[in-house]
Amino acid sequence: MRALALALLVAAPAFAQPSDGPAVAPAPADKAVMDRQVDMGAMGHHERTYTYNRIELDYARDDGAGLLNWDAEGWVGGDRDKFWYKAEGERAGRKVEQAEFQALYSRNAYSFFDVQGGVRYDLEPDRRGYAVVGVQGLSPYLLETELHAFIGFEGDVSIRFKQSFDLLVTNRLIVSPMVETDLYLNDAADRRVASGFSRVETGAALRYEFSRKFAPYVAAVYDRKLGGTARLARADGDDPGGWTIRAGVRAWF
Amino acid sequence: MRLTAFLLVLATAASVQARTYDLTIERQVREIEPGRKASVITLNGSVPGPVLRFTEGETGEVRITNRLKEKTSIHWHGLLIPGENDGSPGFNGFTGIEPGATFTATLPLRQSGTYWYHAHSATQEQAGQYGALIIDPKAGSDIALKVDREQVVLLSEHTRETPERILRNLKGDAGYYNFSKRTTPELIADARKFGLKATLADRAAWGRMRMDPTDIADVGNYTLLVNGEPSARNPSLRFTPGETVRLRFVNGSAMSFMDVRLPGLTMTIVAADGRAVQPVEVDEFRIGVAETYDVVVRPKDQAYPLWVETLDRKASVLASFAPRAGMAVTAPAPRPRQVLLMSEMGHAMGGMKMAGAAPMAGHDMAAMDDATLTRAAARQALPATAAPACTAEHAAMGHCTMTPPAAPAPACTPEHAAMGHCTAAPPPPAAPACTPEHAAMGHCTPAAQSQPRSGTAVAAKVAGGTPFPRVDYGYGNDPMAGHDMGMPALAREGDTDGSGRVFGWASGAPYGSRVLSMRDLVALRPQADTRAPTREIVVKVSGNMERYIWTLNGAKFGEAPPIRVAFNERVRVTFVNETMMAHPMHLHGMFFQVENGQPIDRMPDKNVIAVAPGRTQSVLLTADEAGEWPIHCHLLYHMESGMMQKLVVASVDNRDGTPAAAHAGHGSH
Repeated sequence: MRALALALLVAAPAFAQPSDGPAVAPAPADKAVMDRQVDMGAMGHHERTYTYNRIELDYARDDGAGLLNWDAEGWVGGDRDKFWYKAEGERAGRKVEQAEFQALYSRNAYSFFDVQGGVRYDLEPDRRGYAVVGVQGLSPYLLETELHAFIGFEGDVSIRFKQSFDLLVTNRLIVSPMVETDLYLNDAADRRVASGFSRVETGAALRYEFSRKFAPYVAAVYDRKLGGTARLARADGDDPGGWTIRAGVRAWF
Repeated sequence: MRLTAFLLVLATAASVQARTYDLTIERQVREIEPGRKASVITLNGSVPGPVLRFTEGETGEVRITNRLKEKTSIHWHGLLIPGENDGSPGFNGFTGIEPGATFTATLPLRQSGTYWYHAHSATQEQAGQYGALIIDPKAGSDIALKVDREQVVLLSEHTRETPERILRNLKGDAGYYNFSKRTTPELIADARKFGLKATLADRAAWGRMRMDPTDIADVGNYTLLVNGEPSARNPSLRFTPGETVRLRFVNGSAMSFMDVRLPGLTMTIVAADGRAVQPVEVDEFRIGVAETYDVVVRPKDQAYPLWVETLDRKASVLASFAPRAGMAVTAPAPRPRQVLLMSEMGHAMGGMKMAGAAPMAGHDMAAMDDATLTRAAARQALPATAAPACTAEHAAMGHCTMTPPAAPAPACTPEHAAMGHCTAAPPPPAAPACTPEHAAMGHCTPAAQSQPRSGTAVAAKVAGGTPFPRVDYGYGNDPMAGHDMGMPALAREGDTDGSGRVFGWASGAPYGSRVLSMRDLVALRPQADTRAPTREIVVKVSGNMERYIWTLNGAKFGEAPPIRVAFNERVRVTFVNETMMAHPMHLHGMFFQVENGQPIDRMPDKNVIAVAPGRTQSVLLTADEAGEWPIHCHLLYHMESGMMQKLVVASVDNRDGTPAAAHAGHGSH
């Protein structure tokens, strides 16, 4: 199973289109000229460090309890190399059901794709760490795509796949269908997760971009445990999940 | 005799006494738009800076005082001056002007014409640091033009955001400013007009490439200015009826190609990028970023609207060209927006389709072990060179038998005719291109004309033609012309889509209008150097739109060794635009001659050449100015994102790039 995960990861970049190739290394003879050229700070044409932060925060009612979801990510860096962070979680009523953080190094290895590696740390449902490798970028047909493997320090290994797409009603009113799923390669009994597809989250958000950086949205989301994991939930007397209607905002800065 | 000679020298010395200007660069709050304060960079307190006026032959001096908190610079765009005075930090030992410092730029002027100056540091230019620079010809010059009045028309943009913020927005979302993307209702409208299957195939093709056919310009929310004033301030230019007026147009914007119209008047183009050309009569012309055009008009006793709109039709400015104040002018109807055609993708298209495969033949031509490709210049040899790299898959895609850019249009096969590729009139009369090799063989007809020629960019209307004409601005040749790329095409260039947009990057001008094509430009003075080039330097103009990274030959500025040219070497520089945007490519320090189909001794001098999406354009360069010269895309945010290279012109003795003493030795152009 782990071999399968690796194979998937290796194959993923093949979807991406190769970039123009690495920069041509300067010939030694050009060194002197290069040294002078690299005084680009003087010109201000230096490699800038940019930042990007995006957050989505929404609220739903589920069986009479308030359900708060957050999903934030961002990066600091240049054109090729970036530090990425991701944070997502869910609070049901007064209890934080899920909270995870990722810190990733991200390299623009292909025109439309970054290869990423780093760590994930979960606070809920229990504290544990993972090593992360994956790719993130834009697939053909303009699909925002993420594929990450999480190799748990407690032994659980899973793959997360996420895709979304923008369908323009107008240039500001945008329907965004999405799908996200977790595939566990082994049982994680202490987390009440069985191997196989453990969860799917799919649906569509309708957002209105007052500006590119601020857009309220409503979303219909089907979030449900699957297969063995759903059976475990039912055995525990828990609801395996279903539809929720969420309202929230998306902002980036 | 000796005494006379001595007196003559004295007299000459007096006449070339330096004219001196002071320029103070400062960040100030100004109301560019009425009622809205904005932080801008001023020159002597204003945006744009003052018009600097000199006379050919004198040595001008400009004392620049930097009152900014950061380093700055002023580049003298188009001037043939020693590299250390060019004003490009990081080149020729110039490191910029420190805060609080005063720098004296010395400008020994060997030319005349319409030029401009602007910051060459970070994004300061966009904040307001630019102005026009006019050099009058010396007395008795053969290109002196007798006019009654002159007006500088400096076109530029004002932004409410800070330029650095614009760059950050683009890095966060390359489509940040595009609010004209195709929507689902437009998909339905297209499906009604073209059929669902064809429409979905079209959308799928664009989606597969992860590109957007409405990506005409990167930045929006601009307010256009004429000499620093937006429409809201009613900018006006005066004349007295009956006068002959010379309008000196400068596109001092950071990102905007503009269409310039003066309805009711015939505009006679008499100079391009400062260099005199044989007169061309037009109704409108497109001006690329950083280009200048001199136009002569003969207005009657009435007011004329000067109407300028950007290529993406999102910004415009209306000025009044009138004999008296208070004469109202109205803007003409705005033009439809464009949708790019898949066939305009040219190289980019090939590049996309070849994902993961070996480079296509076309790319192979430009592929290189080194940053620059050196090759025998004989055009005819090119297809043969490319051939070995041609796999069966490439051939199937029509990538292999690539038409050399300068060759005439290939034959029209029945399939093409059926697709409407052949009905449009062939590119203007000048078409059969005249390469230096042909010229040497005496194949080219001389272009000398006494009567003004007419702008030829617009194709004639034919029966069953498209609602809008095909417009060929002469911004390069289509390397894929005539090849069936198997690309879905909803319609022909000049057709409208279901929601009224026009297909084609170069669109908008109506049938019957006279529009300037680069092919119309004929040097007024014969070129001194008519040598055939000895080698070709291919510059692939490329990038990653999704990440807003822009490159030359696949490398961002600083990532590749400089392009090297020997002093006095004659080279062909071929820009291969692999992107879906037009790039105004600019070279500092020298003019190049645009291979626009004119005889080699009449090819026009330019320092900026626009290369349309997917097109290929060659220029000839005589490397007669030693030094280190920036060669870059003049779209500010492209340059800032890497689209720049260094071109080193060194004498054979000084291969290490130190400026040779040679430039002192040769005379004016």
